[in-house]
Amino acid sequence: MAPRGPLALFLLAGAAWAMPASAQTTTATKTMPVTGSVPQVCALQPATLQPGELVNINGVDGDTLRILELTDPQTLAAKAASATVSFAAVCNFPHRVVVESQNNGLWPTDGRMATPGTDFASALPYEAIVTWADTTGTLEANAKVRALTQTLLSVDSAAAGNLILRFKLAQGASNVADNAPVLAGVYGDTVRIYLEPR
Amino acid sequence: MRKLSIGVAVLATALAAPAFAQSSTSTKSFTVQGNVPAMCAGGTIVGGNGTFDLGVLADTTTGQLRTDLSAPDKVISGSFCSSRSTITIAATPMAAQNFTATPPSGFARSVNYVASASGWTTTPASFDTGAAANTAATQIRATAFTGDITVGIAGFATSGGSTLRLVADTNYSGLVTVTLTAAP
Amino acid sequence: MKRIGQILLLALAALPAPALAQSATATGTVGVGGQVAPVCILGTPNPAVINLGTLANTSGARVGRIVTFSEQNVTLPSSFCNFAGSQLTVQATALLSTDDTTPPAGFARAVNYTASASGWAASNATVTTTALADGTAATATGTGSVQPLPKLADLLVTLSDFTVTGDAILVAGNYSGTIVVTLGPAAIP
Repeated sequence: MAPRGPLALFLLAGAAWAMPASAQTTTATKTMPVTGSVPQVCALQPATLQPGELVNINGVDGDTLRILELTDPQTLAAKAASATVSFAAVCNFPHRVVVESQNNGLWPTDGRMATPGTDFASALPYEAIVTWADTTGTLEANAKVRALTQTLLSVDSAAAGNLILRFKLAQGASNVADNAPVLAGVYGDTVRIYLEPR
Repeated sequence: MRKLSIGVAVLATALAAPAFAQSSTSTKSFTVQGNVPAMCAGGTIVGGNGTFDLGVLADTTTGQLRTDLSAPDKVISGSFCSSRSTITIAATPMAAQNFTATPPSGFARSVNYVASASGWTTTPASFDTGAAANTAATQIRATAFTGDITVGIAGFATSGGSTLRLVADTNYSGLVTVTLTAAP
Repeated sequence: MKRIGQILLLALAALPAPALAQSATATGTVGVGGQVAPVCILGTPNPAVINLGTLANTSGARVGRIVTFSEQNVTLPSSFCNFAGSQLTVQATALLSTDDTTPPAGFARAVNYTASASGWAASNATVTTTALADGTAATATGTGSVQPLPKLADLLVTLSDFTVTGDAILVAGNYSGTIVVTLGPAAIP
């Protein structure tokens, strides 16, 4: 071999970079769920009397509607009375309203035993009309038998607003003949409203 | 007889001394090369649980959104990008998963919030699920980086207004997504 | 040749005329001499470029960090030195990213390795680069033992143990390093 001078071959990479097939950017992602729950809730605020529809009732005393004059002084027949009470209420799920009458009518509250006979009225029927979330129902407290009575309203959706209860005692209401005179005594009933699951 | 060797020797010396151009050292070189792609890798969530669980969302006496909702921040540790990158955060409102119909009047089925990711860029990336536009959702980091990303949620608000009540549902859920994208 | 003849004649003419013994035969002698210089020649590296491809893992527990590479071999065939007392030297430069900005904390732009040139003498010429994460101190040199005899051989350069200082994450980019092999007279101790 003929002698030669020194050779330094620097092989430049330059155009010879072998780019990998996936030269595009890469992405890293993390997902983090955010969770919570809303339980089924119903709430009823205390009753407030609606002004302007009060007949023969002097207002809410605590939670009691006081009828001013239960009977006509001359005929002793029951006098009409009505009042409307409103409860701010909410249920966040489909639910039902239970309207309950403790006595099924205005019955004596002073422990007097029921008097036989049909000439005098010993209990007074009334209507309790409930309006709530576009639904209306009526509890007929017919005063025939003193017992707990209920009526149910089914509400298909969550609802919020004012539940209206209208109490109506008809003129001459009586558990015997209409307009029968009413026996002396203190008469009363308790109406309860329940909002609950169906 | 006298040889001619003397003359030859002189000649030989005068003529046969070439200038040797090569040296006794040889040098050769070669190159080793490779490349590292622009890429990002997500780290791991410290504590292992990536879910922000807020528990009961509504005040049980009013049915409206609680005003004291909070969840601890979560840290994503060990993420990196080998080149400059963007971080993007996106979130969806917490919506009732079982009650999917239009809520009745006075009710809502979805809760908005603001999710933010900090630690990667000077300005945290943030996303408000109740906003029409979220320009702060994407932030740029000009250099390669490795570090912790802290993700937090706050600013809860009932979708549609704070007076609305939330429909009952045991499963309200939304999703926060954090993305790192490498730029070449 | 003619010139040589002429000179000879002149030289002869200048000598004092000896008492020549008469003879029927005359003999002329010409000596021939030459010289061979001490030379080393290294064969052309094969392959000329080692391409490791993607240097960093793109997934798994070691994502972003140096891949574990097997040994890479380059031969310099038919290398020789025609004199005694030669020595092989290897100079290696770590693979460095073409982007020379200082990498952020936790990152590196240099890949170190060990280069070992064998096949020449009792001890190989071996060197391990020790570049820092920012690419400084990237070059290192190693020398093999002296080869006492003239030698012709295929040299083998093996690259191995590719590592990154601190096992840091590698910044994105193209990386390149150079290995320079030198064969020559042993250094005078």
